[in-house]
Amino acid sequence: MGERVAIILGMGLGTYVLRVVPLLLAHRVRLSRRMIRWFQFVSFSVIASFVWFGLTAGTLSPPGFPIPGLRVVAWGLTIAVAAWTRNAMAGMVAGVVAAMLLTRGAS
Amino acid sequence: MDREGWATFRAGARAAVPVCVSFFAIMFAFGLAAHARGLTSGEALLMSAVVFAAPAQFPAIELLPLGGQAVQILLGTIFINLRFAVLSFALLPHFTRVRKAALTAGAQFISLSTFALSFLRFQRKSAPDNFGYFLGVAIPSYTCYLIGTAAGYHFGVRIPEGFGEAIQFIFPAYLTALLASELREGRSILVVVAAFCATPLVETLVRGWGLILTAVVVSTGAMGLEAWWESASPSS
Repeated sequence: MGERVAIILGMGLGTYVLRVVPLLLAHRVRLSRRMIRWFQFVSFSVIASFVWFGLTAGTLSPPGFPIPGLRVVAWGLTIAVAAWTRNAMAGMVAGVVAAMLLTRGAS
Repeated sequence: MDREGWATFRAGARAAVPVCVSFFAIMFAFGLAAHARGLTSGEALLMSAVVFAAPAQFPAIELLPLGGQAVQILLGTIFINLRFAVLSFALLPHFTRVRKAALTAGAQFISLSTFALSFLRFQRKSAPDNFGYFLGVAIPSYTCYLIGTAAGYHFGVRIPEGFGEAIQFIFPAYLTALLASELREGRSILVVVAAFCATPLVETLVRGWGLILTAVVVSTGAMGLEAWWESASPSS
C-alpha cells in the first residue's frame, strides 16, 4: 500500500515538474524545433505502446494471437468511430459497448 | 479579484463546459477501471489529483497491481507527459504579467484540453487577464475530473459480473480513440503504428523495458528519417 502511494506521488511530482519548469525557466531555455518534434513522437509512441499493453494485459507469449478475437472487433470499431466522428468519447463508447455486447453474446 | 477579473473567469468557466462533460465521462471510466484493478478509492483520487493526466493514469493502474513496476510506471508517466513541457512553453508568452507564485500554483491545471481551449482564445484575443481566463477553464475542469473519478469508483461496486471484459477494454479503447480522433499527420500515424508493432518485440527482448525503449528507438528513428527526408527534399 505504501509503495503504491509513493509511486502515485512520484508520478504527480514528475508530471508537475514537467508542467511548471518551462513556465518558470523558459526565458533561459529555448527548445529547438527538432526537440519539440521528438517530444511529440515520444508522446505518440508511448500512448501506442500502452494500447498494446492494455489490449494484451502485457501477455508476451500466449498460445495463438495475443489479442483475443472479440477485442480485435471492438478495437476496430473504436478506431473507425473515433476517426469518422473525430470524437474520442464517441469512439471509446462505441468500442466499450461493442466489447460488452460481443462478450455477452459469446457467453 | 475585481469585477472584470470575475467576468473573465466566468467566461473561461462557460467555455469549459464541454471539457467538464468529457472529463467527467473519461474519469468515470477511470474510476471504474481503478476499482476493477483493486486500487483503493483514496489511491484513485490521489492519482487523479496529483497527476491530472488520464493517458498516464490508465496505464499506471494496469501496472500498479503487478508490483515491482515502479521504474516502468514513473518513466512511462514522464515520457507520456513530456507534452506538458511543450504546452507550458507555448503558454508562457501569454502569462508574462503573472507572478511566479501564481504560475507555480496554476501549472498543475495544464492539460491538453485546458491548454487547447485557452490557447485558441489567446490567439484570438490576448489580454492581461489571460491567466484569469485559464483558471476559469481549468478549475471547473479539474473539479469535474475528480468528481468523475469518485463517481466511477463508487458506481463500480454495483457493476454486475460479466462486464469485466468491457471494463478492461476501457483503457485501450480510450487511448485508441484519442489517437484515432486526433492524429491526421501521416508521419505521426506511422510513429504510432511502428511503436504499436515494436512494443511486443522489444518487451520480449528486454522484459519490463518495452515501453521506454520502444519510445526512444521509434521516436529517434522517426526524427532521423524526417531530418533525412527534409534534407533530401528539393524544396527544402
